[in-house]
Amino acid sequence: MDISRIRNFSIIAHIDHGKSTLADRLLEDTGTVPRREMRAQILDGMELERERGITIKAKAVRMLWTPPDGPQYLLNLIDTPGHVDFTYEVSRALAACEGALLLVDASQGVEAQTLANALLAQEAGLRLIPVINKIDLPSADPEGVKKQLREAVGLEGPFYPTSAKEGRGVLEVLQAIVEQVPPPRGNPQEPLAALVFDSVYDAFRGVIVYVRILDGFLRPGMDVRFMATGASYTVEEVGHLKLKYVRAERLSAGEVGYVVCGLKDIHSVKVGDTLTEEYRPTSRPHPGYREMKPFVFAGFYPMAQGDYENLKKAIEKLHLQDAAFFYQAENSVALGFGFRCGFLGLLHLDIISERLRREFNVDLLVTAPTVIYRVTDQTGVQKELDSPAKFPPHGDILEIQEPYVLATVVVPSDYVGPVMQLCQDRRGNFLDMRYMTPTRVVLKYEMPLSEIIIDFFDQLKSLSKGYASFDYEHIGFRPGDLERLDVLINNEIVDAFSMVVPKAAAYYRGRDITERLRELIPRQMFEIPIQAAVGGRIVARETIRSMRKDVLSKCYGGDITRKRKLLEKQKEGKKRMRQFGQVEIPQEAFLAVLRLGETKTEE
Amino acid sequence: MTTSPGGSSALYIHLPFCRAKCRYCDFASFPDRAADIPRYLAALSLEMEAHRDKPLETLYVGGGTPTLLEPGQWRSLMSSVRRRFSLSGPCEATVECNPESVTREKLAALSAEGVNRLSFGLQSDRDEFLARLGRLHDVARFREAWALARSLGFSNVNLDLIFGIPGQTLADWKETLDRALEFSPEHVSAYALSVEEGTEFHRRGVKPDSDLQADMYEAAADTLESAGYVHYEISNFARPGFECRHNLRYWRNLPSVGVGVSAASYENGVRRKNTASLDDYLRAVESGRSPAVEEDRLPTDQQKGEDLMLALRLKEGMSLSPEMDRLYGGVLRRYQILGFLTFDPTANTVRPTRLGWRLSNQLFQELLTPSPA
Repeated sequence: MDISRIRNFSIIAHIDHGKSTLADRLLEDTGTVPRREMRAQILDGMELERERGITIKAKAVRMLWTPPDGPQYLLNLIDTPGHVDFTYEVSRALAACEGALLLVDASQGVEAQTLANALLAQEAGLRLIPVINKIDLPSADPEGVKKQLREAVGLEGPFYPTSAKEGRGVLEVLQAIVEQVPPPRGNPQEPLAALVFDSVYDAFRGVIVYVRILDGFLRPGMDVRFMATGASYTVEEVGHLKLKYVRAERLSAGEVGYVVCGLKDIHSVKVGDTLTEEYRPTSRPHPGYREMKPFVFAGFYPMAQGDYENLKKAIEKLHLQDAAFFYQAENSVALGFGFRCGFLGLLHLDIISERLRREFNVDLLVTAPTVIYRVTDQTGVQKELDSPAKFPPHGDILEIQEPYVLATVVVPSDYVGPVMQLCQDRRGNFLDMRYMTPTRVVLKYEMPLSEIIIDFFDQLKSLSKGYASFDYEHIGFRPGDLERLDVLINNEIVDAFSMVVPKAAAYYRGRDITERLRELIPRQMFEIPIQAAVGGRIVARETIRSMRKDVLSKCYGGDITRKRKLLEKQKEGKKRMRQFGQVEIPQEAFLAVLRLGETKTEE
Repeated sequence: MTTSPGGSSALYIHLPFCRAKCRYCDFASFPDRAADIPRYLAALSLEMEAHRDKPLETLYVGGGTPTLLEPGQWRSLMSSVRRRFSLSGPCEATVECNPESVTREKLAALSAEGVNRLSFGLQSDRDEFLARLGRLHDVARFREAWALARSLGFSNVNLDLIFGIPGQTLADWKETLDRALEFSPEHVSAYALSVEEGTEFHRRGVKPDSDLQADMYEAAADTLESAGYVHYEISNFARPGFECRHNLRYWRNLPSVGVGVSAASYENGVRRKNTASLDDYLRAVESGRSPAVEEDRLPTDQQKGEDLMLALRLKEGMSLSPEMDRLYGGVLRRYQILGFLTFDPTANTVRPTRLGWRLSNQLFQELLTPSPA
C-alpha cells in the first residue's frame, strides 16, 4: 500500500462513551470481521475488560476500506488503554498515530478523561475528529456537547454525530478519517526507526512487540537493536495485526504491525523504546522515552499460608505478561510470607489482583496501597522506599518526598463546593477552575498521589451523585510535611501497621487506628497497651484490659466430650490469630487496618 | 475423699422433665412431656439392663426436675437401679431437688430408697432474681423445702448458686452468699451464669459482664473459704469430708455410666453419649437399640492431657508421670510463670491456683493435644 493511503488513528473516549462499540462498527463496515463472526466489543478480549468496559491492553487492528468514490485505504486503529494509570502507554500509542477520533457521549458530555487524553493527542500533534456518540438516546444533547468541545478542547466543527449502537454515522466517520487524518510521513529508504507501543507475551513465540514503523522497514533476518535498552536481536517474524497475527514479508515506513525476535522476557522490552538496525542505527530515535516506574505498592498475601507456592506461581506468570508489574518477596510479621507488588496506579493494582483471583484462582489478601517515597537521610543519601517499614529511624530522616499528580476533575457546577472541599482535605493545591459551559466546571489541583489512592474516587463520586469525573498525571516528587506513624502493641512496633502520614494528621490517624485495634484484639491474660507513635513520641494510646474470667459453665452429668468440643472451638478461634510477641492478634485486626479500601480517614 | 475401689462404678440418671424451662437452661429437659414419665422410667430400666452388674460407689440423679417424680415413681426407679447395680452402704446417692416440687412424701421416699445426699437449686436468695432466671420457686418455698429435708435427716446437702444474673450487683451477690451460709449447707456450688445458644437468655441477648463475674467469683471463694469451706474444685466448695464423690469421679477421669436422654458414659476408655431427643431415646431403647449417638476414644497421648485437664479442676491437682511431663510439661511451666499453677517438686505434683481456675479455659485449650518439648 502506498504510504499516502495509510491512515493511523486512535479513539479517545471516557469509560462507557461507546469506544468499543464504535470499534466494532468500524471492523464490521470495513468488512474486516465478517458479520457472522462479529461479537460485541471484539477488541476487548479479556473477560475483565468486557465486564468493566475498559481497555486494559493496547491493541491494533488493520482494516482496508474503499470509499464509494475512490481507491482503497489502509486504516490502522490503535486502541489505547482507557485509564489514567496507563497515561504513558496512551501517549506512546498516540505517538504511533496521526489522528484520533475524540468520542464523546451525547448525554454525558465531556469528562475528565476525555480532556486529559485530548490534550495528550493535541500535544502529540494529532488531528482530532470530534465524534458525538449515542445520539439515539432520548437524553442526547449534541449541541451542548459541541459547545463543551469548543470551549474545553478548542475544537471547531465539523462534528460527527453517530449512534454506534445503531450503526448510524459510521460511514461519515470513515470518510472523515480518510479525508482529515494526514498520511504518515516516513522514508522506507532511511535506517529503521520503529516505535514500540506495546508488547505481549505468548507462551509459544515469546514476546511479541507491537511497533509503528517511522522510517525504514522491518523484515525477517534483520539484526535489530532496542535503542534505550541496547539489547540486540535477529528478527524472526513480522506481520500485521488483524485480530490475529498475520505474517507478512515486511513492514514498511508508515505501517503498524508486530515483530517477533526471540525475546523471552517481556521486561526487557520497554514501551516507548525505538527499534533500529544493528549496523545502521537511526539518528532519529522517537523522543520522549521514559522508563516505566511503579508508583503504587501493596502487599499480596495468600489467605492461607499453605497457598504461598500457588500465589508465587501465579504472580510469576502474570509478571511474564505484564511489563509494568513489579514484585518482590516479602515477609510480614503480621501476614507471613507474601509479595510486595508495584503498580502504575490503583486500577492497575485492581486489575492484577482480580486476574490473580480469577485466572489463577488464588485466594488473595491485598493490603492497603501505599505510594513510593523518596527519603533523604542526614548524610544526604536519597532512597526510594516502597514501604513505611523500610524507612530509616525517625531521627535519621532529613526529608521525605512523595509523588504528586496533576488532578483534573470535571464536575457539574452544583457540586463544585463539596468537590473543592474534598480536594482541599486531601492536601490539594488549587490551580485552576474553568467553566466549560455555565453548568460544567473543570477543576485542576496538584495533589499528593497518596491522597487519591485510597477511596478518593469513591468519595468524589458520592459527593457529586456520580457526576464528577477524574483524571490525573504524575508530576514528580515534592517534599511533604510527613512522618512515619508506628503502632506499638505491648510496647513493640508492629511493622505491618506503620504508615506515612502528614504531620498534622498524625494524632487523628493514631487515635483512629488504636481505637480500632482495641475493639478488634480480644482481651488476653495480661493488659495490653496499644500506642501510636511518631519517632519516640506517643500520640495516642488505648489499653486492652486483661481477661479476668474464662471458665466453662457447669459440666453436667460427666459430659466431658462436650467440654472438649467447646474448648476445641475456642482453640480453633485462636488459630486464626497471629502470635506477636506475647500477644495474639486476630487476622481481622490486620485486615481492618491493612485491607484495601477499608481505611477510613477522619481528618 | 476416697479413690475408686477397683471395679466399682458411678451411675448418672438423667430425668429430662420439668414444668418450665429456666431462661439459662441448655440441658435436655422437656416442659410438656410429664405424661411420658412412666414410659421413660420403663425405658431407663431397659437401658440399665444392658449394663454389667457392678457395685456403685456413687449415684446421681439429675435433670430436668427429678422431684417431679411421685413417691411411687421413685420406688420404681430405684428398684430398677437395684436390679442391675448394688447400692451398698458407702454409696453416695444424690438427687437434685427443685424447691417448688419438693414434698415431705417425696423426700421420705428418697430417704427410704437410700438417697443420702440432696442438691438444692436455690440459685439466688432474692425473689426478683429467681423470677428473672425463670425459676418457679421463691425464697419462702425454698425455706420450707430446706426445713423438710433437714427434719427428715438429710445431713449432706448442697446448695446451687448462680452469679452474674442480669441486674445483680457485687453487693447483691455477697448478700446471697451470706444468706446461703445461714442454712449451713455441707456443700455449695457457685456457678457463673453462662448464656448458651438456644436458651431464652441467648434469644434476649443477655451478655454477662465477665469482669463483674470475676469479682463475684473472688468474693465467693473468699467468703466460703473464710466460713470453713474447702474450695476443692473450680466451682465447688465443701465442708471437709463432704466433697461430692460423684463429681470427683468425673474429675479423676474414672469410669461412669450414664443412662437416659443425653447422658454420657465413660467405660474402658470410650466415651458415649445418648441422643438428646426424648422420642429418639424412647424408640431406640424400646426397640432394643442403643440410644448412644456419639462414641469417642481418644489416643493415649490426648487421654493423658484429658486426665490432666480434669485433674487441674481439683485443688488436689495431679502427680505428674515422666510421660505426662514429657507431653505437657512445657505448657504447664509456661502457665506456672503466668501464675496459673504451682509445682510441688518433691511429689512432682502440679496444682491450680485461684487465678488459674478463673482463667482455666486458657490453659485447658492447650491440653487438648500434647506439645512435647
